[in-house]
Amino acid sequence: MANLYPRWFNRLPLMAGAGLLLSGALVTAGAWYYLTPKYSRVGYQPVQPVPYSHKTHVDQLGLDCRYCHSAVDKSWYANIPSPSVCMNCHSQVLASDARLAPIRDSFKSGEPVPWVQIHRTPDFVYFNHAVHVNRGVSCVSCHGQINEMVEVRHEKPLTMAFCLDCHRNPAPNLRPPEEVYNLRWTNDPAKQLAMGKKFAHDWKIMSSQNCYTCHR
Amino acid sequence: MTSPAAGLLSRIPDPPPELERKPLVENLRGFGWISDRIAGVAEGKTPTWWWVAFFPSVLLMLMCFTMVGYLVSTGVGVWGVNHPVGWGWAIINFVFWIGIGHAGTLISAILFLLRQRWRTAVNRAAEAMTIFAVMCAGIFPAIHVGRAWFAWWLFPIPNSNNIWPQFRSPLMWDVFAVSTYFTVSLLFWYMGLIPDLATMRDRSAGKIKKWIYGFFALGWMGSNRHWSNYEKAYLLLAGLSTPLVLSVHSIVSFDFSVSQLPGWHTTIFPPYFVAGAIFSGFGMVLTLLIPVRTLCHLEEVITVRHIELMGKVILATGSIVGYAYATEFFIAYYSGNPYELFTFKNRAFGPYWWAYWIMVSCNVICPQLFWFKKVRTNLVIVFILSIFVNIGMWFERFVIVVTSLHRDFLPSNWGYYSPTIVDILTFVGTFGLFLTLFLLFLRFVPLIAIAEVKSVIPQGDPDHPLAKQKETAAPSAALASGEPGPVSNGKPFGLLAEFETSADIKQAAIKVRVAGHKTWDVFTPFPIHGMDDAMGLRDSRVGWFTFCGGVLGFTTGMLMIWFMNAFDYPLAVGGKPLFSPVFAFPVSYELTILFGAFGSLLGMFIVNRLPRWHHPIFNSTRFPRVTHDRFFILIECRDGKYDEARTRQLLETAGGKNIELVKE
Amino acid sequence: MNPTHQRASAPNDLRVGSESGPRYWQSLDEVTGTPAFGEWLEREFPQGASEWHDPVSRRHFVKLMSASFLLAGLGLSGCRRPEEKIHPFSKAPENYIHGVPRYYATAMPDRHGAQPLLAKSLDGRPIKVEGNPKHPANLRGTDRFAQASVLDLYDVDRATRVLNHGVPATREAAFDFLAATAKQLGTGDGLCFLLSQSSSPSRDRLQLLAQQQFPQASFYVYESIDLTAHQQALTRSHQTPLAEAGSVSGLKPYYQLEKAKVILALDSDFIGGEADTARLIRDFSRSRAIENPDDTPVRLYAVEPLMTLTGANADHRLHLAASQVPALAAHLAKAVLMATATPESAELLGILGKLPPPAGVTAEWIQQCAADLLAHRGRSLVLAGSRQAQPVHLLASLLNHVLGNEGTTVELHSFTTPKSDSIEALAARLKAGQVNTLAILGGNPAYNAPADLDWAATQRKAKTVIRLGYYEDETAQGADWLIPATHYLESWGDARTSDGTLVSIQPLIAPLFDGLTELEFIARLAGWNTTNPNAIVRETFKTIAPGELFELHWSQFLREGFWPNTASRHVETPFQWSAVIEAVQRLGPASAPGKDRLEIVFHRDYRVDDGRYNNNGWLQELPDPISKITWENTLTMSVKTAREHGVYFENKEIGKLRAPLARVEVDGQTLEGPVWLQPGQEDYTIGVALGYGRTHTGRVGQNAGLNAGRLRRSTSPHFAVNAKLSPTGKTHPIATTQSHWQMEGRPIVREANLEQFRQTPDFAQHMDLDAHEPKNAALYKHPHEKNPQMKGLHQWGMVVDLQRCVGCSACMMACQSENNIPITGKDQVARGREMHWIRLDRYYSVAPGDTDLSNPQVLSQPMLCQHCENAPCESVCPVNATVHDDEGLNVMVYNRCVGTRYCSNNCPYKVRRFNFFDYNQRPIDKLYLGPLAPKGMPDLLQMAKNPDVTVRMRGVMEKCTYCIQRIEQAKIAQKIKAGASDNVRVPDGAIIPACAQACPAEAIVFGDVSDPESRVAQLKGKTRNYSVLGFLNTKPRTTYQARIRNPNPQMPDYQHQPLSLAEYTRLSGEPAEAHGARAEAPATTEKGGH
Repeated sequence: MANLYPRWFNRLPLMAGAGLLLSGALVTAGAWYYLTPKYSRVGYQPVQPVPYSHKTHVDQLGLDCRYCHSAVDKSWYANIPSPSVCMNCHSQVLASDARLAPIRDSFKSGEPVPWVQIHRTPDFVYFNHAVHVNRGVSCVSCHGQINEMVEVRHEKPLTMAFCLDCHRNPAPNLRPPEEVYNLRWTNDPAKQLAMGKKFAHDWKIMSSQNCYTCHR
Repeated sequence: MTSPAAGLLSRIPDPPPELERKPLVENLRGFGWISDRIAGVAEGKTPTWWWVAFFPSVLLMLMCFTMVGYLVSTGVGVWGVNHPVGWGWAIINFVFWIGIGHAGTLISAILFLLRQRWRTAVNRAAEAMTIFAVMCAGIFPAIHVGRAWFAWWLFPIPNSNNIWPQFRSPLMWDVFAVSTYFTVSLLFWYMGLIPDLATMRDRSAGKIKKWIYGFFALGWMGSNRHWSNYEKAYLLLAGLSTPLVLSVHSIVSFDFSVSQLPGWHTTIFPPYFVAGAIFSGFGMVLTLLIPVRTLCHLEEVITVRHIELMGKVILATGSIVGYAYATEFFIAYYSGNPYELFTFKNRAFGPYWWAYWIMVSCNVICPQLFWFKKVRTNLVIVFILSIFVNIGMWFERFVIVVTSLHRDFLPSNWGYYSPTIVDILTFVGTFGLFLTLFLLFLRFVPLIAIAEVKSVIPQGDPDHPLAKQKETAAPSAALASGEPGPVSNGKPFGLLAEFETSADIKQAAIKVRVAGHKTWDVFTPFPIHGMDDAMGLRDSRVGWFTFCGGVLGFTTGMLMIWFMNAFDYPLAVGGKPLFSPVFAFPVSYELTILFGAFGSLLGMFIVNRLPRWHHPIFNSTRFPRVTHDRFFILIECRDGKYDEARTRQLLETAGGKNIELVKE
Repeated sequence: MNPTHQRASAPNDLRVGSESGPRYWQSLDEVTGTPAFGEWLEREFPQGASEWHDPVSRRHFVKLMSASFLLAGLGLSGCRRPEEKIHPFSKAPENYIHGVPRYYATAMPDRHGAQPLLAKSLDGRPIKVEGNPKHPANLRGTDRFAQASVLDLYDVDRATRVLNHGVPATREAAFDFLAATAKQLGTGDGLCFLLSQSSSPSRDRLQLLAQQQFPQASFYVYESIDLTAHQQALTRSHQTPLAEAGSVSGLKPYYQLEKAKVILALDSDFIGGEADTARLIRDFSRSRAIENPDDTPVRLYAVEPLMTLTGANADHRLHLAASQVPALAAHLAKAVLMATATPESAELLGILGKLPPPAGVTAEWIQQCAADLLAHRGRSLVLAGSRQAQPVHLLASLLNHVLGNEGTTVELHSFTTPKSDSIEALAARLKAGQVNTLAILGGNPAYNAPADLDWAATQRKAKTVIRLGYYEDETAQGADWLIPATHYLESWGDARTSDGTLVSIQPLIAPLFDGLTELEFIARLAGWNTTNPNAIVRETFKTIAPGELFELHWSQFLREGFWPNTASRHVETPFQWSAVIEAVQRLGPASAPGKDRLEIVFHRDYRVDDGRYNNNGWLQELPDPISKITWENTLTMSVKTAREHGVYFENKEIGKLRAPLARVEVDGQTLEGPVWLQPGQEDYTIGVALGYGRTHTGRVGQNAGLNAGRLRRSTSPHFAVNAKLSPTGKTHPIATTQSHWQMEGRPIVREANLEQFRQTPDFAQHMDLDAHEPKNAALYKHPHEKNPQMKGLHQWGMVVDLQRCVGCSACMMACQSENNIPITGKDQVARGREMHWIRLDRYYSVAPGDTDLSNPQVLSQPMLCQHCENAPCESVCPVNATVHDDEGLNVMVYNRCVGTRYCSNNCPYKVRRFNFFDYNQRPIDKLYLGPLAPKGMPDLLQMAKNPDVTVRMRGVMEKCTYCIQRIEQAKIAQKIKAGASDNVRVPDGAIIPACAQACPAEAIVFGDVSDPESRVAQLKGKTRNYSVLGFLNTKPRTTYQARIRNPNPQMPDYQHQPLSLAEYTRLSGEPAEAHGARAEAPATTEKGGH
């Protein structure tokens, strides 16, 4: 009988082992990158029917978040403003700007403006805006520096791990209540930690890691 | 049939009567005969009975898959489960099949450790049965969950939800136990198969067949240095499988005994389940092997004595099971717990009385017939009783699962459970899957461990008077012709000498060692007792790999569970501690065994430098008979004392034939 | 693939408050008056509007409707995820905050009054109703019908279109027809109105107006189950003030059970079957409540042929044939009169003395009962059931008069109502061909009028039949016009509650299908200019609260839901002995029923009433509080009766329960139905509930049960006598949620007699295996104790007081409504797959030897998740889908659940429910088709869902959460209020789970057990407190308060121990001995049900 297999066949186990390691690493890295919310969500920046700039309105004009998102401190939802809110100013300012046409049309016709949703928790997650903003968590913590965005994009992953990070250690994200809507407010990290801990203690912030906090 | 050894036998003094045992292979068959007969089952033309069995099996298997598809697409409601009976046939079938699986490991591992040499005739088939039974069993936990597509949540895979499995649940223990059991059984089975796959390789006439068998044989050449590590690894695997087999059904029983239901919450379950599992497993082995031995003409290898011995095991385990039933009643009465007592009364006299009494008659009463040798040796009766055992053990699981659930603490919850047609067809379908796999196994893989059987016949023992008896059966064409390979013009590799009996080779090996050779090896169809000493080999180092694997497994288990349940996301569960070595133990135990088994196999491969498909020795045209009936010694050229002429002379004096110079 | 959560929100809120100032009532008001719903629809969603009118395929409607968050299109934007749109309001309605529910006061009218309600509206959809606690009756609870009524609003099968001779027509065509008819009416000759009973002042006003305009027109009122027998009797037995022309006046009783110490119910199911049950239950349970051993709970005597909720709660229950009740009442009256001996009573005594005694009752029973009543003069009460004839009621009235109960336990309230006649009179006129136009408002006479009227055919004798109805039902089949009626949650109206208080009915949503209210219908048929029901109600209210402040009062009336100080007062008026004497004189000897002379009792069903809730899936699947049967009615009879007629059967477990079908024959009419063996029922009496066997109703009610109405006669609508029963040899599957009736001697419901309770107040804590010493101890500390940082601020717990619970099942309906619990259908229930998170376990206990179960004691126990601290379900879940939270809740995370069902197996209370199929997404009659069945919840049904609770998909486990959504909302509200402060503790009473809120008996208390001041913590400290199966060391957070019976030791049927306690004592020893179950006698008997 002759040798059935060529000599290089003996190196097969080593080659297979190395190949497996390599492809395993590739798959893991790929899954990590493409299948995690960091990739699938962060940076999502759809084209909106109206190129509304938060930078202009918040950073330059100094509008308070609650001017438009008026329910954010009262309700589960931070509402999207109706065109009538826009028209409060834009009936005078840029009254005939082409970019604002959808707003004016909606205001007249009653057809809603089809904004593209960017931040969305899954159906089985119950997130309450009001309790966060009223207890010292700023919009920035979850939405990023909205005030600097010309067009809004998804800034934070908003995964369960993301929520848990803050719920396990809320101190870095607690602010004085008057600074919650001040998106430019910053604090020295060391001071922030001390202050956050004090707030957490004084206000009995017992951010829960229990399932019923979000799922029911 | 007149035996060629008949003349020889007369010269051997009779053993004292108390030691007289029937030989494990009847009629004093030789090595070649064993290879031919066993390998012949997988080689010959496919017999008609095989097709007759195979087609219905495949149809049943397809029906099983259809039912699973219907279940997953529609909902668990297509089964008969309800409130309060949340587990029905699915779990019953799971436990049933897992139980069946236990015989395989028991035969291969525990009987191996107990040096029960009769196991060699049945262990291969029993192990295959184990693997297929565990596959059938594994289907049920996967599909019985309401959302089967999320069943992967039972595995500890990191995810962006930061949530982990919950290791206090016996179902998690089950996941680890069953998957470890499946993996280790598969490794054990495959490892046992390697020498036989080499036999199949060497016997195959077709190129493709040869290539495929050869690929899976991993370049096995019967080297005694390999055998030495191989046997060590096999022993270690057997050692690991023994606690494994005991733990698996113990853990399966924890599914019940760890919960609170009267009738489930009892400490007797682990031993009682293990005994029951062995009982049912042997039942299934008999059910399969009694027809197979006839259909495949293996009566001389799987002898009536084998059947009888298995009958005794059934009698013993059946009696243990019966004792457990009695104990349960006694404890229920003695505990003074009215809930407990009610459950047992309800089993025997409640709405499911029929299931209970079927169980008792099949499991306790029927096996008592095995007290009689006449029964144990009557294959028809044994076959029928083995089927009763299977039925009885299925009903045992039915009784445990259903009667405990259907009437528990609050009478307002009480209900009744009946299976639906989907339940029934799914279960019947798993028999299709099981038989399909088993029939494929029969057709493609030697169903008896050829090398092991060779080692237990008298000729296999070099110190046995019969060891000098020569094989007279002519080898098959493929082996006899020994196709000449391409003209080898490579470097000389070594001198190869051929020997005909195990006694010869042992003597020769001693001579070669005494001559001071270092780089040489002996090649045999089976591991020869005493050869390591003859060659002067050191003890195998495989054990260290096993040890490291085991330690790694245990540590991994404990650390993983502590990290997941007590550190990363501590949750209060059932008022139990966040971490306790007690609830972490079953999983760590399984991981110890799993990693230990990986270590053993890996160690064996590393130490043996396997797989090694290409080897100069395969250039010899006579060498393939090493997996059949011949023994070889190779003294390599790079050995310090090698000198072609002197070495050739040494081999000739040692009795070597057909001495040839093997080239690379 | 995760549990879908409904965020659909209807835009009707657009109209609520979109155009006006802060008084939202005003805006509702204007909106309903002005642009009609359809117009708005056209404007807002032109492409969707047409679909609205198509009852079946409103596929995209809710999507279009969800004004604030609308998922549209699945077009992929890039490869990341589907692009989803947010559609904000084009003009935001004022006062509207998305996601914040609003509560409006309204009322649910019924035949005898109304239940004042607070309705919860979320994004324009009413999704839940609660009692209006501000109403003078101060009732937080409701009955089960009010809870289930929300589902009726979103009934996919309700009438959605105008039908003219069965052909769909436009609404305008119907209005034109009504206008044209009005013009031809002249003096109203041949115009007949068939009405249901109502307490609406507006309807009374319109009726009187119409009568003035059409003097020849006539009005008829019909109720299939008439609950006004008491007021007829009271009106006869007392001098009644005169009424104005066109009206009649009368007296009606207003029972004050809270003041009673002894109650005698003569075939009166005041807990379940009479009028105003929710309030009566509340008062009864307050009267029965026992806080300390010194308290004496009310003692209830019940005499009844069937087993009712009232009998189930009685301290002394006497089963007696319905025909014998008058004799019993008479002899009781005799006993009382002899003791009170007044000059007026002499004549009556003479007559009573001649009457034969009731069969099957000992004189001792009557004597002692009478003595007890006499011993509690002014604090006793005699109630007669509305199915009993007038003599019984008159005798009850007499007894209350003589016992001095008038003005204390029973108040006499005067009332006036427009004149009307009976359905028999209308039938006679129809048969005489005197009716041109017949308007049938509500009711369903073609289904439930007495069989001898042959109403379906009789109705057609009118030239034109116009029907205002909620369903395309039997009556609509024989009508020329069907106009859809509105649900009360879509209606403007008014009503009077049982105490006479005026309540407002206002819509929370515009009529979904252009329905008309009764008021608008009458106004249109009369051809009036004012047809807007809102205007009509305002007009009526003006007559009640006139003056300059009208607008202010009107808005207050709507906001508060009632108009204060309109309750009636007790009137002192002379008793008229002659009426009683006259009635008693007509009482002849009534022969007792026998084997071949069976009595049939037609009774009001606990679930579908007279059939009006027949298409309500929640009520159909609600187990009957006594029999625990769902989805149908049966022929109930005693074990003995069944044995003697060859229809006895062994009660098999759920899953294989089949009852024999029997045939009942009376007066040549036959009825085939399944037999149900009812413990405690009078022998030779067959009970059969009305309201089933409908031929034309929605998909839910169609063909469910048997129509007992076929045997009813207008002369005797409640009973039939001389019936025969024969087996048919066939069987019929029964879907019951509890087949095993006994407790097997297990101390699950713990009870004692008052006497024993006073001796051993903590008897309940010395039962079962945990009574052993030393106590069970855990091997390890609870992680919350070991890691105090894991323990939360509050620790929730619940107490269920079995002394208060009467088993009415309102909690089950409230839970179903609050928690989006699906129905599963009869087939699934029969397999043991109902989904109720809270159930009412009902056990019978009988004396040894009572093999016919003729005198059982009945126990009810609400069973829900016990939220064990050492929850057995948790430790077996492999994926952490059910764990403990920091406040002691047993958490069930649906989106993590893979569905092993291990938790359910390991739950000793079996309160977990598994979604065996996609009950929410697939039609319940096509569950087994899997993906081949149409998928998706009907859009209308989606609107009934509570968006704060996940709608669970198939394959996941679910269970009671203590209404976690309410807990979380309260905690969040408190935290928002706290802001930058530490005031985060939720005050006691701020969180009420749905079951506790609906419970009219106030039996369920929820709160923070770690707060010693909380009500729940205080109750847990009482001696009656115990844990079910406490020996398992599960440490349930839900505990129970033992029940205390108060039987009369003088009574011949006195048992010195409740029967269940006697059985327990027999098997396990005296609970007072404090070592519970004795090892040498642990046996429970295996009887396998009855």
